[in-house]
Amino acid sequence: MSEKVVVLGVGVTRFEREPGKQMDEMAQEAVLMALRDAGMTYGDIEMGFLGNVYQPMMAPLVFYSLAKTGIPITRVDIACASASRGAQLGAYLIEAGAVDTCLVIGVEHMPRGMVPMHIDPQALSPGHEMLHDFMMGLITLPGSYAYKAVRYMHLYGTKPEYFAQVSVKNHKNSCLNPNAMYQKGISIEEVLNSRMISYPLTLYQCCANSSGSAAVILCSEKKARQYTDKPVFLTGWGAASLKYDRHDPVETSLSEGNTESAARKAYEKAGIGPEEVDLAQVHDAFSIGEILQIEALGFCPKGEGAALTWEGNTAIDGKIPVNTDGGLIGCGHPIGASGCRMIAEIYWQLRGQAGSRQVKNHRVGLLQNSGLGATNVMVFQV
Amino acid sequence: MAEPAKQRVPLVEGRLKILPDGKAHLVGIKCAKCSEIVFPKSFFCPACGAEDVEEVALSTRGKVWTYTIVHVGYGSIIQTPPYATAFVELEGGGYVHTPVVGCDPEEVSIGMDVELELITTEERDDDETVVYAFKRVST
Repeated sequence: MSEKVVVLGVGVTRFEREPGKQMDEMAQEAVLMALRDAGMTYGDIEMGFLGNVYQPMMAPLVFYSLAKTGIPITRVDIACASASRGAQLGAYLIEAGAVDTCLVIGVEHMPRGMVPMHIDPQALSPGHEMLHDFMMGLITLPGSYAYKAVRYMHLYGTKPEYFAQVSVKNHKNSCLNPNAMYQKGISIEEVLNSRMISYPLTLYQCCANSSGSAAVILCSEKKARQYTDKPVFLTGWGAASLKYDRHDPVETSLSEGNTESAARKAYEKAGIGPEEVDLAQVHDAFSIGEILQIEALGFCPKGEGAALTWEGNTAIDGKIPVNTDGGLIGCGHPIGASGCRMIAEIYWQLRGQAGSRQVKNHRVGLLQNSGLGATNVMVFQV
Repeated sequence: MAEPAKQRVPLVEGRLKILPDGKAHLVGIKCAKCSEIVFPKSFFCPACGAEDVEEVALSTRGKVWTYTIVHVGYGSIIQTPPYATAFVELEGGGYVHTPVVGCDPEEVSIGMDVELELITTEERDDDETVVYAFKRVST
């Protein structure tokens, strides 16, 4: 008989360029908030996962700074999807009855500018894509999404304004989120006129590097009943990585890409379909990313995501609110932490605690978090 | 007397083959089980997972499948920004992720005909190092 999984508490720090705090301090701050929210002490935690990409050996460095309680701890690195992958791993263990509680921390400190991509030349043979193509100027994250945007415009005749609308919406939402890096709205013109990074993606269509931490406490339902009578359940989850598609070399998800695959598993496990989702936090690393993800998740047919966004359907008061806290574009993107930030926002929304960001219908929330090497989808329900 | 053309040596092994007569082509794999053609070479066939893959010569011509113009990047050994890069769908199979050279980046379009072009990155007395790119086919 498998255990149900509950999200019992969350904590998110302010995401900013110069937090004036080191990673262990940011993690401690997020963990304290999550423990208080759950009504637990650190002694109640039986397992820990830490989503962090850039700092080796970060699991003991952070968890030991909280307290050495002897629990199994693991650093999870699957790029931008690290924290949500840590949550999925914890969920499997709770479901299996191996532990009753699991603390998932995401934390990252990032420099300005292009995301660091130093690969040790000892790690890869010279012909490896990441060395050869990198030298040839082919590998940039904005570029990888720009290919999808150019292909999308070719297939559907989409205007650049429609992509820019994602950034406008997410900056509008982040103004309602005190933790978000961006606290100022922007216009379509400002988005389109900002510096070109990789055609057609301009600066404000790209998420910014940021530093911050977010923490989530997962708990078995049987133990959670001691702490809450209104649990937020994690009812389904699925994961995937890139799958070769001879018709789609840039993963525009023309057929079942990794999001469709992960979502199919999550929907099936949760026993729901996309039409039942009330709100979603998706991976808007770049404006086109949000548009492709809402299509891949089944909120609209392929090719209609841009218009769906342009017409306001993904706004907080829209049919299917997306990235209600500002997403990666509005909050900033501390790589190891974003997955836990997404979980926290869904948790607050489902509990009716999202304040000025609160969406009207809030029974089913969905998370979709991508990274180099992963897509994670998670379904939460009250 | 004209000097013989310098021997051209690919920068990395396994992607570009330069024949004794100077002709060049990219090499990918063809799966012996499902016939999928893939570039660059893959250890297992990504379409069916089979281990039985053979090296195959790829066409030097294709069409731009999608592209971007990189304004901000990590640097390139052959171009300075803004420069165009593309996924090229090769005649006969395979996609190549490649720089596009020989035209203004603004002129690149989906469906544009392109062909393999070699670019020298380092010259020595007896030979030179080359990398591959694709250039617009001159009409």
